[in-house]
Amino acid sequence: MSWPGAGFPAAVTGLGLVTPAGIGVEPSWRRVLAAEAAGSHDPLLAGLPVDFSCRVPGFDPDAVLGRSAAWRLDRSAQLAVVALREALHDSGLDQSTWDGARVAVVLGNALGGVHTYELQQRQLDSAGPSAVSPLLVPMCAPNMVAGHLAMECGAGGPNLVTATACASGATAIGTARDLLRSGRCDVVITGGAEAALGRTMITGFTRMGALSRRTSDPNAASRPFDADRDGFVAAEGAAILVLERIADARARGARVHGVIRGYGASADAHHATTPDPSGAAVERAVRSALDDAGLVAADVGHVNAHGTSTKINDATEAGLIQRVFGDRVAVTSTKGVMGHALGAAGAIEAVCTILALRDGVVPPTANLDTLDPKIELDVVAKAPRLVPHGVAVSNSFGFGGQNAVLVVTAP
Amino acid sequence: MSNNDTLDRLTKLLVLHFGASEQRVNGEITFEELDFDSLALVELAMVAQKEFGVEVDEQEITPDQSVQSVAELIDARAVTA
Repeated sequence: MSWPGAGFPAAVTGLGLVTPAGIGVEPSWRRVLAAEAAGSHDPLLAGLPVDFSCRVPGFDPDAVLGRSAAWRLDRSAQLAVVALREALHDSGLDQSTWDGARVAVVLGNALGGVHTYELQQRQLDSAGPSAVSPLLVPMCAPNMVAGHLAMECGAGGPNLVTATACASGATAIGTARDLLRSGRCDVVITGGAEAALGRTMITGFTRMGALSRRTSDPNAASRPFDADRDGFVAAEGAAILVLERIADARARGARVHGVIRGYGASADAHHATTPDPSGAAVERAVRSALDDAGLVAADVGHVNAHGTSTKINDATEAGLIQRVFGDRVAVTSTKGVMGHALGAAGAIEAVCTILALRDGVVPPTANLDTLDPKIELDVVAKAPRLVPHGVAVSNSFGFGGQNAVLVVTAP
Repeated sequence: MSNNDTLDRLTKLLVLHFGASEQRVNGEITFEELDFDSLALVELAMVAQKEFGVEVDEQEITPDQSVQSVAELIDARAVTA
């Protein structure tokens, strides 16, 4: 039996994307549909065992934000502010007339300004304390990205960052919906941002064995569910969604892109970085998200998988999807194109899931040449598939065993 | 008096590093008028030190100072250095 708050529809009235697939929602989405992978050698990582990543192409913060704003922001905040501007413009909300005190910000971020930290640490070691920027702390602290979004648009309501590693963006959106349902605010700016592609952090991920080593062909390295997958490709990006109660959105004549209908969360309580191979906790997150949506597995037509392209994630997740949905849902992982943007990934993928519902299409999983024979799923590959469906699920699972699942429905 | 070269280089630093408006920066304008907060002034001491190779203490640059007076401070340090 569902509880009285189940199925609460949080209307998505604004979208913004800054991803390795492009700057802007439509350019990113077109490249995702075309399955054009974005992995490439990264000059900043030259000489390291893993010397490639998925960066936002052609992102020039000075040009888009102005130098006077850009120099004060960590790259994660720069990406987030640009995505925010697109999302707010898309929403049609007027910041000059809204009640800013009723506008909340809930953003996912995993690693804060670690690249800034790394550069400043080098300054301290090589040139002493007087060479360390006074902006080190405000650029590094993981909460700052939400603070900067509030400053950018005058959002004076509750303001926080959710940190659940690779699930952060999905946790943020689920938490944002809860906040809206509670009545504490009327609008929530939510999503995720991450820009942690520094030499130290990439080396850390490499030492854990989490990253693909396909240095000879970075563009083919992120290959979720493929038999030859060997790890994820680290990425950067930001996604912003504007959420409102559906009655408010309709009353002001806003365009509703989609609806966040359910949210489920769980913890593996198993190991720091290895997912519980039984998949019990991730399954619980999916089932509780469906309950929260007031829906059942048979209602779901499409799953945007966490699908990182690591051996263990994809195997564990495939088992869970099989158990809950059987083989009748069209599964994709958009990480094949964009890599894994960590704390932003769940939000980027929520946007992709909304666009999939809007267009009645499931994007292909880039680089999926040979489905892992142990995976018994209908994973979309090679070309987009027309799937008229009204309900989709987006999975996000983080290191630390933190899991967040969203149920998205068409307006 | 600072020499014009120092003022020009400082002006360029304010525009390129801090994004100050090229139209607004001149010798007479103060850092307060350029919207420099306390963090930006510390950052200025840091980058000026690197650009000019002189010691500038972060407490030496205050919001009410003009660009010209900081150029003079840099020149004075360069002479004694």
